[in-house]
Amino acid sequence: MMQLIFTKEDLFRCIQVLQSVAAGRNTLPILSNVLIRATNGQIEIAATDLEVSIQTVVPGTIVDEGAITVSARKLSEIVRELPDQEIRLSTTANDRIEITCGEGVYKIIGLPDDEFPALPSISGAFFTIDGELLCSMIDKTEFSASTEETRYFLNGLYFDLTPEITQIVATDGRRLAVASSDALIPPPQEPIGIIVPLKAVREITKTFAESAEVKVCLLENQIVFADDDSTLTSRLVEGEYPKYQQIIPSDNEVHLTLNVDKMLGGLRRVALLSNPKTYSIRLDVQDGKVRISAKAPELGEAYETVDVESGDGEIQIAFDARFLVEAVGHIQAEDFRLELKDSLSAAVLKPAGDDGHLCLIMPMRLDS
Amino acid sequence: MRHILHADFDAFYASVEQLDNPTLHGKPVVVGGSAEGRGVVASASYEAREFGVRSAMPMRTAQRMCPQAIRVGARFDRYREISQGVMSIFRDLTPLVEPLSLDEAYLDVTAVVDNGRQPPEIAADLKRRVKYELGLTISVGVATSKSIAKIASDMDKPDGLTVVALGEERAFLAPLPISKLWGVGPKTAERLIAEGVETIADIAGCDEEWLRERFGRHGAQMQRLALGQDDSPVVVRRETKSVSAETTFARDTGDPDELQEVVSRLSQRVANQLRRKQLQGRTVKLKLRLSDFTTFTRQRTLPYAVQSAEDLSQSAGELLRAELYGRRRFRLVGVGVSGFEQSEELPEEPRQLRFSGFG
Repeated sequence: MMQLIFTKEDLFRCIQVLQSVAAGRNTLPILSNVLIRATNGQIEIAATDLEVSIQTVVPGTIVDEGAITVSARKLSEIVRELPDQEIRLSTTANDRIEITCGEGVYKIIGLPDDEFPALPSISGAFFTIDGELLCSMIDKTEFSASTEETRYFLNGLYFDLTPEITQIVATDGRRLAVASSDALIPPPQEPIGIIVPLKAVREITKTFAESAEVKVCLLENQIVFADDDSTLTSRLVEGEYPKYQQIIPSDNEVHLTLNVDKMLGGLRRVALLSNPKTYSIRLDVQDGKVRISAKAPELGEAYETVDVESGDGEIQIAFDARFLVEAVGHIQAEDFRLELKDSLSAAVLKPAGDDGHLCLIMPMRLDS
Repeated sequence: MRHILHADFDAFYASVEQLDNPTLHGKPVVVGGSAEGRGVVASASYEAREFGVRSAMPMRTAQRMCPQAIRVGARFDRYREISQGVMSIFRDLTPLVEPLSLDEAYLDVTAVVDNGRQPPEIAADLKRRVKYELGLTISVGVATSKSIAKIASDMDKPDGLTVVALGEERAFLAPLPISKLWGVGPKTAERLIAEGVETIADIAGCDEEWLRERFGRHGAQMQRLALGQDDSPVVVRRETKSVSAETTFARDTGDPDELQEVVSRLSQRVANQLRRKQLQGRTVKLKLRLSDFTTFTRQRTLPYAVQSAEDLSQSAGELLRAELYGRRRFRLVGVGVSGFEQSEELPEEPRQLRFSGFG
């Protein structure tokens, strides 16, 4: 019989990550369970919904090796409420587990571990990338991905890997975000383009944010990310990603440099009085200033003026305030460049002095 | 107890052409696009029908069947004018008029009957008045429900009058082929005939469970109509459920640019109609017909309602691109919108633009 000892903190942290991967009800019962396995002196916990899988090493003491699966939700709920003391977890007859902590004893009915799906691991050639960089590239793009199910191939991040550059791209058809780096080692010899579903992307940032090195390996219609402790596998989204480079304009002639914090504050405040149906917000660029204004019927109106740090031009343009706030809010720099062409063309936003991040937003227009 | 009339013009477009041009009188006339332009017959006069010419037939086929037929192009403005005339005659009789198209309508004349007039007399008066005022004949079916009135008006064309009195509904329907029944299209008819169900009486006599198993709720509905049970009301204002436009190419094409160009043009036409009707819809539909006449539609429901030609052309264009593979060549392309939401507020509100060519 398996017998393990954990601290509450270690066990809870791991289960929390896994619980969001484990499938909800209404699927195979085994998929709503986590696998707990102690072999070769290591304790591993795993969860899968057959689209995304994670296995991770949990610090703990092995008294006896073994394996079991148990409801992810129940285990997480119980561990969350336990006092901050040593947790003993053991298997008993008939696929049950018994948790003892302080004065409490909790017995949960599980399922045998051999019913749990086999999980892939890194095999064959792989790339490596700094985990913090990978997560920051995801953070700079993910907010632009579509969550509309009709455009399933936009419900993910596009990993555009070429010998020259690694780009992560997200778009919902109205805005686009691209993060670039050359941090993939070794660079691929041929261009690779894959779509990683959003569910997996969110788990990547939870799992690998502090990893010094993440291995990335492509299997047939799957991608595997792994560091020393955790392995995350995801099915790839099938479908052709739009040719995003084509829509990134190079002829936006109005170039403005603006302060991120000033602009973000102004946008957030004025947006409070934007039309709650459209979130439309207007930018009037003139005489070295950007006037942000919004108007909501039967509610009120607001405007605020932000000085342009450098650059000049004259333009009137309207946007969905949420898109602007999200894009500016994800810029990792003190200043950003706003490049505009006219009131009907996409605006480019980039951190000043950094070509590794770009956001593109289509404006709104008054219907004639 | 209701009294319903179904009235429609006989060979509407062709009759209007004969009316306006006396030299066409008594001659085979077909209305529609030219054979060279791959037009189809929109309407054929009874003289042309004797040669087997039918509407929706390719013009080339029609001219082969009846070489002496005189082809004239359609003049929809004129047909609309006559249509307004006839509908106003109908409305003189009862406000409960439900137009189905330019040339046909249901009339609920229950109140007129309650005032002491007999349904056959009402129908005969109506026919006389249309003939006198417009110079055209209509055929009228009189019954206690819409579905039977419609079948009846078709029984004695042209210039017909068929009355199905209360209590005679089932006997009237019984011997008719199933294809006459409302909601039984060619596919359903084929399936029913394969099962030995050929007349409306056969459907009426079917085991309800048996029908339901094969045709679901539609099966139960067919049986109710076959039994003469139809209480659907005459709806005065028919809501627009969809708006569409389509075109047949002079030459089949598989060229993506040419096809996209046509989709854009059709989108513009649909957008104009939507704007006029103050409608915006969430479901965009693309209709395609291949060289071998296989016809199918692809549709997408958007998370927001659209009205502009640009939005339509983008969505329809995406649906189109997914169908461009192999050596497929297309004969017809159509663009349509349904799933309407009112668009009264649309003109004042800013509208989010999208990247072109994106999902």
